[in-house]
Amino acid sequence: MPGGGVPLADPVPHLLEVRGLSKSFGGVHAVHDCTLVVPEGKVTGLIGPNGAGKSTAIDLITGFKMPDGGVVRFAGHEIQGWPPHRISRLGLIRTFQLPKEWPGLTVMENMLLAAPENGRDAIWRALFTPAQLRRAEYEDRARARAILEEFGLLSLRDDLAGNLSGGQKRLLEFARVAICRPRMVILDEPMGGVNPVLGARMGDAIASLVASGVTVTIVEHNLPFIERVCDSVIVMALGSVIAAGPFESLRSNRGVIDAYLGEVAAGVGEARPTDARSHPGAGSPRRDGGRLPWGVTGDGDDRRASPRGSPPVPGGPALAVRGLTAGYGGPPIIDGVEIKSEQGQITAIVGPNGAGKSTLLKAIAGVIRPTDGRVLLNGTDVTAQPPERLVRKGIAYVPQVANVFPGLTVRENLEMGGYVRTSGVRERADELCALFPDLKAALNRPARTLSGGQRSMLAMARGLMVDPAVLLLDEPSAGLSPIFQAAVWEQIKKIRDTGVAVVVVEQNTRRTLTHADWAYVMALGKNRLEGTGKDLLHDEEVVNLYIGRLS
Amino acid sequence: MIQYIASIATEGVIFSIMALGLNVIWGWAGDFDIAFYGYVAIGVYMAMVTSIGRLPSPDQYILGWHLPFLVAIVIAMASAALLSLLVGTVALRKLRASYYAITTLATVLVLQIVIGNYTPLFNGYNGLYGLDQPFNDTLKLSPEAYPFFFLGFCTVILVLVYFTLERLSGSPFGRALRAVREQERAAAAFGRNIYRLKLKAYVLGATLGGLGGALFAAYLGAFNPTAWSPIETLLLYAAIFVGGSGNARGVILGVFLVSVVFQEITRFLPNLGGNASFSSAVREILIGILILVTMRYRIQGLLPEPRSKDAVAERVAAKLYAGRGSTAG
Repeated sequence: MPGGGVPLADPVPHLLEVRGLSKSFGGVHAVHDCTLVVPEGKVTGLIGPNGAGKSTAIDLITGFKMPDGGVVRFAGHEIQGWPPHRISRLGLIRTFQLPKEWPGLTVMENMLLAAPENGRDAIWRALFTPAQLRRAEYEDRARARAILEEFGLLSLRDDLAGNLSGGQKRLLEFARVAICRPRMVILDEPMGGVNPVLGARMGDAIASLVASGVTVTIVEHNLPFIERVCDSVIVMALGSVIAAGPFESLRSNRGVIDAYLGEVAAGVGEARPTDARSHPGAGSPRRDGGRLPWGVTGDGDDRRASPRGSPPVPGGPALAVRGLTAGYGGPPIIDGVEIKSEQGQITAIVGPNGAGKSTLLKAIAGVIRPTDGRVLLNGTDVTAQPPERLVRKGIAYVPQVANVFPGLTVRENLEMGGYVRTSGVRERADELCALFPDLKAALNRPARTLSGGQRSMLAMARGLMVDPAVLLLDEPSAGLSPIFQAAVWEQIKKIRDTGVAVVVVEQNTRRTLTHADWAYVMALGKNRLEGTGKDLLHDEEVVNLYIGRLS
Repeated sequence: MIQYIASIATEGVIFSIMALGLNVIWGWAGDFDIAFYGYVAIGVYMAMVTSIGRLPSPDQYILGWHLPFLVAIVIAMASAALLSLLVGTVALRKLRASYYAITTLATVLVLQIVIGNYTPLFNGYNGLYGLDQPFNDTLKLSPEAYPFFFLGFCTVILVLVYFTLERLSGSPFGRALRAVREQERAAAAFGRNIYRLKLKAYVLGATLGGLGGALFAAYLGAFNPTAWSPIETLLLYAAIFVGGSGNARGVILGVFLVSVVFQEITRFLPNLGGNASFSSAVREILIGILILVTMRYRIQGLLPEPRSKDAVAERVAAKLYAGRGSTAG
């Protein structure tokens, strides 16, 4: 077994060592000079905000992507640039963010394929099977049955793996790793879409893997889970490792907090955690069951808690969302969410990864069908109407990606945005050109030649072509440089000043909160906090939601 | 009439061998290969040039040996294997799905044009002829009896191919291939060399194509480039889709249904409008409709891919190892 003959006096040796690993895609550094070590026989967490380069780093380490540079040393071999199957045979196994079972094969076949192959795949062995090989297959089957029994999948062993539920597929993923008996496994977001009951089971499964001598590395957004199961944690941001050590040591690490919440925008002071406490009046943030910020095990009554009181009201709510629940066929991604958005206000929705922010916008815009709850537009129920009808009624939705027609010119893009208008397309386009000076100069250029910032502007302008009451923006500043982010925010403020109710979902929490009139903080599909942007900016509870409590 | 039935039965048996080969590439490994009929054609040509000897000029072609037919079959299979190894080495490395299909389509078109225009190879567009009733020099069967012997010969080969493939399909090799088909990245993550596995399946399938081609050469007696085109590959696909991808019995059923029943039934249609191509047009329309209906209502085909049953394996193993003591946990 791995880790067998290690002398006790030695410090724990490093099973995996990564030095200066780099990879860029079209000039963007996805992973840049990444250096980390994973000690043998331990559980190591790999965390970091969206776009930190965690998944790319795993792909580079396990051979699924070719690194531009750097060294990966595993169990004494330099494995950078090796094909994935060779790395796997060396004992380094990985899982994927979405379970990748072999759907057309049975559960048992999935297990047998994960068991060490030992040359059994050869054609000639299939035709002239030696007795010992048949024996090995029989023993693998017996072992697979025992493991499946442990995971509660034994009765499903002759079913097609593709017919399993999402949770069962997650369990099968663990079962496959268990029968594989690797030296090390990298689990890529094993808790994605997993309910609390199953989550506890995952914890047990990881513990038993470790007990059998497997070194485990977990990439996960669910930080309380990481805190519970990991011996130490590596934090990545912008393609590099920014911190490493025991979880507790990272909570107070300035760099880690900044990585999760975004840099402090100009003109706003340092976050002062005590400010919120000193103003307990009407303006202070409200908490909905905020005592259990991540809610993995604290799933309870707080889902029914509705916001007490209401945000400031200059013109009456243009958009009201009541108890909205939606998902993608599996467990709900958003669960009983409540928000309101006023005319002439910027309403921001922020929260850690997996909070359900984008899903909320999709459910409001009719892109996905909510399973429960209501969406009210100026007091009229518009729940679950198809997006093309909602556009006519005044809800414009600007998705995060694929939000312009790259082959059409800017003018044509605007005209497409006004497709449902019966009149005044040209006039409205001219009005928007006045609002977006950047676009006026580029009217006859194809949208694909625009910069990222200009594209974002165009996407917003296109949404505004229908003169909507509500504009839903999904990460309008994602992937932009700080200067362009500032420009996008200036634009959003201009839009707000025309009287539109703007709902913005964003990753850069601090910058967003400085600009938002009212903000909702979501976590794990539920409302957690709400308040004016400025108040939330100085609220330590927000930090807790992102990186866990400052104990 | 009975002669006629023997003739179309032989054709069905030979097509079944080809379709089983294509089923390894498509049904097991999941690669939509359009070059397949090229390997069949190479099988036909190589069987011809190694067994018919020298025809009087002006016909020209390579080799011109007069080897026993069985040896010619082996050479035909080896040639198809070699060619598929060349094509597969390039096409299977990175290309998938439509890119792979287009590459293999281009390959077979190039092959067809080269063979058609480069006369010294296989006599160009005139083609080859003269492979007449193999084994009959020694058997001395009557012209009425020989077709039945040949049907029997082909059927024996089909049975051998069938059982070999069934064994492979249920083996760890077949399992690994299907895993690669279902989810490549996971197969790589669990140590499978995807490229090598796909290449093995490709060469195995093409070799069977060459075998089918060699038998087809003897069945037809003559062959030229107008007789083979990508359409022929698509007819084999039609048989596989309708019968059931990945299921050997389904594939054979599909061949007899599509290539034999449909082909032959339409011959007896009244010739409307005096157009000579009427019945073949109806045949193609009917096969098209059959594929559409299958795709819409029974995507897995008449006989779906068999599922391995661990409960059965458990019983077999229990019997096999009973009383010998088990070391398995």
